[in-house]
Amino acid sequence: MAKTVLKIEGLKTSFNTTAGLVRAVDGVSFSVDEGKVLGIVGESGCGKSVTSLSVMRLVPKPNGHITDGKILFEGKDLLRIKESEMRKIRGNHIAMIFQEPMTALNPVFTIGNQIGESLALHQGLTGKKNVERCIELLKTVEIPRPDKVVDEYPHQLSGGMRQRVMIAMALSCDPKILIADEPTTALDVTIQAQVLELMKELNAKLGTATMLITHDLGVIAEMADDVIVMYAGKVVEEAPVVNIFKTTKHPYTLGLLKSRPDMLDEDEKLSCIRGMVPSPYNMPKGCAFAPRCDKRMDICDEKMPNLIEIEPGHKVRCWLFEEGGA
Amino acid sequence: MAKNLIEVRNLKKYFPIMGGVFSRKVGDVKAVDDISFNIEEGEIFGLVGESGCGKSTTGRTIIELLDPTAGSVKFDDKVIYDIENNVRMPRNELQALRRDMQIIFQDPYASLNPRMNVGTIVSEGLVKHKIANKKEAIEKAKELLELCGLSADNVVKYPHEFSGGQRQRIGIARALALQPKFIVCDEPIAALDVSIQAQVLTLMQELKEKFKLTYLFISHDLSVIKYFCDRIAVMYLGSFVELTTTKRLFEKPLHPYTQSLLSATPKSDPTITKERIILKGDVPSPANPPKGCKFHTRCPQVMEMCKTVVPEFKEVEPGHTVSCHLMDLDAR
Repeated sequence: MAKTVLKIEGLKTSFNTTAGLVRAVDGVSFSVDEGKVLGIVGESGCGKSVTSLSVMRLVPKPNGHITDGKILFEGKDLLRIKESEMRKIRGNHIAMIFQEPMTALNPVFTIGNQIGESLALHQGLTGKKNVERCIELLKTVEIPRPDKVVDEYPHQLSGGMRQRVMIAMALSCDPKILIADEPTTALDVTIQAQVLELMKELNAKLGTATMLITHDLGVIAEMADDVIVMYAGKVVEEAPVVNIFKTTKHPYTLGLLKSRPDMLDEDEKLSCIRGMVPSPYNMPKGCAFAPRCDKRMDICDEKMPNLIEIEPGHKVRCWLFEEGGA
Repeated sequence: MAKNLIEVRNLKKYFPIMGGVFSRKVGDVKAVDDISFNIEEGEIFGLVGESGCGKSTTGRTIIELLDPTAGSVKFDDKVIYDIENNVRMPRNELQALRRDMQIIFQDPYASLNPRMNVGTIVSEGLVKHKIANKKEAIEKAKELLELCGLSADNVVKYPHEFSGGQRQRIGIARALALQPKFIVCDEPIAALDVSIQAQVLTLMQELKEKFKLTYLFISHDLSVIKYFCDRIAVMYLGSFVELTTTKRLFEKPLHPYTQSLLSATPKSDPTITKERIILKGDVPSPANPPKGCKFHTRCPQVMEMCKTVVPEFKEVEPGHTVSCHLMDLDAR
């Protein structure tokens, strides 16, 4: 079996807001293996981005806090180490690709400057060697005329090219873990196809463990090996990608799949999940999905079900599958 | 055959580029460049393409929210404008006609006035067109909100109190207030979450049946277009490259751009492995589109003649129009 690079246990992240405490991530556990792609799906506000920021220890301060849990990177708990030590890991061993290539790059520095920064910091490459490595990286992500682009500014590049630069930057120090937060959401379909293809190739070539965060089930189907479905800060289903799509268990996952028109047979009507995500200030007492669920039972309003393994590798948080329910 | 509700002929919309010391016109962004099509009564006509291809501009120019550069549009057998023959509908007539054509915008956060309450937003058109007095209009607004899945007491609330999906419902209620015949839907679900998207789509479908509406549905999401539309036009850099029924387009796409667009859309099925056509490069700037066929810079099947000769947009089989030189080769 492949080596586990990142293991997260019972992660809880919350935010202090004027309206009260918001538990954005509420007891999330998962692990990422070497060379694998773990997909995290969910709607906006379900805590998928906060999970990834927690791993990087980039939760916005002073309002955001990681209150509990462990983030084990190669056996070391990232929540217990000093900030200076974390800085050596961040960008070096764990790298991140952000959603908005327009805002994630600094407009006043050249591309070479921005990629070179982490090379200088983590690998001590300076001067000519630094530039050479930058050009090499731009070549890996298939940017045309890399020797020119290295001296250009972000505004001179298109969205797809900027996202490639982001990937080049993330890969610059051969990270063990790559966190991609909605890497293709801001891009057009044809450009999305290019970037996904590139990420797939690089993943196969470099064997980097990848956490892919997205709301697009199509992207998940193409990219991921394992999938986590999140709802209201909790994992509701976890399984290999084929199981998620073929032997779906949780009513929420099922609802998500059913609300995608490309999964329908001809003449089949689109079905939808009623209502909307509960307000984070006012979470239901029992299962967070109960108010929207078609298969709601009395117990769902009372108690939160546990995440249990019903088949090897397939975990579900639902009373339909747990003893004591039904 | 159903009657054509909308007839668009050779529509062009150019945006001037200003530059130089005296801000003179130095060029044009050809956002919409010579397109013609009809929309039949009761039809959902889909317009698909990547960002910047002119979909939204088309939608807005048809209902004359933007001033057209050239071409003509007929709505319900009445000429709205015909630039070549210097015909324009008089202002007061056009205003009356606006009752029949409405628009739903993409961004539900930007398209509702934050300082008006929901009742006023929905009933504004009714009051403006003197169909009802203020009191009646509010009653009507309540009805419309309930129709769109919101409760009637929401009329006193303000837009910030609603989520994205609910705001879009308010936008739909506003569009329906005047009982239009035709609604331009400009990416109405692009800003929403997947589960909410399905809700709004279903609502729009129900309303279409109920009020016998005709939609121009603009989207970049092919799977939504496939589910929702009767006929589809694929746009690239301001021009149509292919126009046909939904069924034909997905069974037998003829234009290389349509083919690559279809193959680029991720399918929600991990067991299918498919051949992908990956396009090289980016969409060229519409201010300076390539000569000949606009797609030739990225086309996997490019030929020498594509670089110089603009392909004609012609019917290759009944109801299937394509603009590509490859079609001539096949015929020969």
